[in-house]
Amino acid sequence: MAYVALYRKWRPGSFRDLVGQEHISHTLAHAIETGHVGHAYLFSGPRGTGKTSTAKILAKALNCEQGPTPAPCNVCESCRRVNDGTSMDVFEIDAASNRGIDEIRDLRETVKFAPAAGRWKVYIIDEVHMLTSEAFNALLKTLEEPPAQVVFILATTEVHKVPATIQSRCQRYDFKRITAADIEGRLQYVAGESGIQAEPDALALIAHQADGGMRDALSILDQCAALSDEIITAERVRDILGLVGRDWVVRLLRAIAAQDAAAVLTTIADLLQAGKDLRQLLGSLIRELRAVMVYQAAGPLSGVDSFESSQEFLEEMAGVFSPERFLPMIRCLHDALQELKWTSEPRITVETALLTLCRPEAAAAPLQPPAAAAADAARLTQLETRLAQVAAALAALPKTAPAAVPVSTARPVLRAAMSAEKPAEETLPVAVTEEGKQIWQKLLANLRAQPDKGPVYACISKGRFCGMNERQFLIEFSSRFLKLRTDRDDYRMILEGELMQISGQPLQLVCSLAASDEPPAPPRPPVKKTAKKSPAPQPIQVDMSQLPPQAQQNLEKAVSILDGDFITPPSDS
Amino acid sequence: MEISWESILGHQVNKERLQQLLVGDRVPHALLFCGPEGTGKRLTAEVLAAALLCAAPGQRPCGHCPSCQAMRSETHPDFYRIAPESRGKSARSIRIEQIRAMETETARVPILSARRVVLLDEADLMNETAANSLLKTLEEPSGQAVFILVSSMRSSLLDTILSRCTPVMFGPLSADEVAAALVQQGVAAEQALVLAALADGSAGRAMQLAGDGGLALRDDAMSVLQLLPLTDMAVIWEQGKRLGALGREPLAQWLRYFRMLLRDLLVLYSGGSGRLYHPDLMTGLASLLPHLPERQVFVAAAITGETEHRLVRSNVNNRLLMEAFLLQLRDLQ
Repeated sequence: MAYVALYRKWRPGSFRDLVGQEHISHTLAHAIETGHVGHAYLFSGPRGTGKTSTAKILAKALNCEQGPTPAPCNVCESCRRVNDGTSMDVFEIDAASNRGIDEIRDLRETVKFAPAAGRWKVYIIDEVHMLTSEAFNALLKTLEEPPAQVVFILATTEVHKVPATIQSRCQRYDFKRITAADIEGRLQYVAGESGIQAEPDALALIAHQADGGMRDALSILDQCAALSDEIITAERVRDILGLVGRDWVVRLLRAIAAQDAAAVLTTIADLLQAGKDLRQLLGSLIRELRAVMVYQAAGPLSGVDSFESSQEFLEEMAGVFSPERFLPMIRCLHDALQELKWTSEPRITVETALLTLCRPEAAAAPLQPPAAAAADAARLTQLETRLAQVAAALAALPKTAPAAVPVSTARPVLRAAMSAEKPAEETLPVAVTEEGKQIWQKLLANLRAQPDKGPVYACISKGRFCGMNERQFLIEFSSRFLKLRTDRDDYRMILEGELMQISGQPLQLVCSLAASDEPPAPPRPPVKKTAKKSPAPQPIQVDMSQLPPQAQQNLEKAVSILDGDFITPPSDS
Repeated sequence: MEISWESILGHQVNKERLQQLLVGDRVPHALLFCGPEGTGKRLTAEVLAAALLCAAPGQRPCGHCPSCQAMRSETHPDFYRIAPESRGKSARSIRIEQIRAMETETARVPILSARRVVLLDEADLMNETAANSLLKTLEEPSGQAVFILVSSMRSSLLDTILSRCTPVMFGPLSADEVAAALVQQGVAAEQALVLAALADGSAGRAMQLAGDGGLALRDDAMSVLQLLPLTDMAVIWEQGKRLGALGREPLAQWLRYFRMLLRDLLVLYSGGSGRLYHPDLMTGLASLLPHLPERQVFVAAAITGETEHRLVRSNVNNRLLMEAFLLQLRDLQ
């Protein structure tokens, strides 16, 4: 007979052996005694807390030859068959392997037959969370009204994956994590029964490390027993589990407190060389930081578990770290702990995290990628605010320009504002002269003659010439779209080129909107937003030359991107 | 395959412990070998498997019984190996079909030896359904079977799997041990020492480095790092296209190198130049410091980690991923 692991050998055989789940064993025992056995149970809880064991005990209790009894005898034919897994009436189904609808259909086919030898047919469906949703649904009817003498026991570690329709048809029992004290007691019993000698300290350490799972605890005990010569010592357990001793944690925390990055790196290298588990290291660091935090906040408390930290050390650390540093530090370590789950270079993850702790100011707010986007957004808002300010400045300018040039003058104004030495251009008088009309006619004729400029012709032929001076050539449009289109750089260049050819002097094209036209398009949302935000209802005067060079650059860029298409922000007042 | 304890480099403690378990016939039915990549976990698992299957009295594996000979020629009927498979372009993983096939096989009576041994290589690459379907078998195998799970990412295994296995930790090898392994493979002793320093305790990585163009990927990562700060969009598209065409595995490796270089930058910032992964690139790295403020390096490291996660754990379009990666690096400024 090959060696059987302790956790298999010492699987609890009766409710009495079941540790730490009294609330469940008591209820079930009572149900058996009074004959009120439900037809469907759902056992949920963390790994190693006794779900499968309880299911098996319940199966035995129901079918034991000594009657339905809360204390199955474990010697009769029926009990032995359940223990061996050869019972005709107790089916242990691994739902993770048989997760499809076909397996559930097979199950439904067999459910209707009466039990072969015992009183009850028990279906234990383990890892039930892995059933597919079709399989769950196929199970619903059977689970709600199974034939008499059938009990379903579903067991899972992830109860949230079990549909509500299944849960509502079952009596649900939540298994608790087993306390370290309970585990220790059971370990002592098992060790005594199997002739393993162990120090109480060692067992306490194992119980603590098992983290609420009895199987983990027995598995560790098994391993320690196999690898220890005579008696299991705490030292040996720590060694075998690769536990990070407290001295390491203290060393690391001191280095972090001193912001000594080199020492941190050296310590990590040493730990790795010793084959320690980095995950445990981070866990210990978090616990230690928590202890310091609690100490700093509340002083020495007897009720609060402070994880064996010495008072002097806590005091020393509490003096070094400021209270607001703890949360970012713990969060950083937690993130690293998460990352360890998938990273291929755990060492780099841990090193980066600890270096972050060492350099709080450099990594003050370690920008996450989304945060980088947020920075962009901030820049954008800044830009928008400035844009709104300029627009407001424009709106405040005295309207000396002729009525024919209301909106489009924004462009020259801005240009003028940006280069301070240029005089404001729109102050020059404009007149509809014969010469101007001739130029206008010639321009139209020229454009019509060139087939590739057809679109430009189509655009401006809808416009009306309304005056020129030495520098500017004004066209008025009745349609907002045509005005905007003509105002774009590509058309503007063609037109200004033509004008240059015809008139022999550089003329700037100025497009305007006829006074009695369609209502202006709604203002663009960003501008509107910032305009609303600005507290002062009065327009703000901005002198471009006063702005810092960076801001000027940004603004010029924004103007070139937005094509100088300014609109006046609506007044909020 | 090599089946003698002597062929395993280092890990003296682990070897002794496993042999101790063998002698007492107390080898647990489920073992988990975990530790960094390329340190000899799989080799140790193979030797242990051979020892478990060998029927000779005394020192096992004996090396000459029918079982050992079958192991050596990799034809042992009772030895079952599961490794991640890649289907089409999807990420490599161990699937439920593989686990089911193994369960059918191991439920039968062993043919040549007293038991069956199942070796699950890279067990962390089991997908969720596969891992869950293994739980029952792993707890109470229906036949006489011993499971050896090998993984370099212990934390990505399910809690329920971990609690069923006896863990055996493998630490990194010392530089001398890695160098010795390289010399065994016919690498010149001097070069072996340099490569061993780069390999960070992993013989596997050292051998990869010793192979053709081993350092090419790393140098490539360095060249991209030197492009920072990225301002020219043309460069981004060009590099994204080039990196995207590398293929999944080399690209993952490339990202790892990139991250190591960033980590080295952080080390330089903290003044501890003695612990660099890439001491040979020290001057190059140092010249990067003025362009890259420390905060940006921290962020870049986080971005690289995230990108690697996406590449390894999900089915992404490599080129899009790399372009996004480079764009994020551009936005650091």
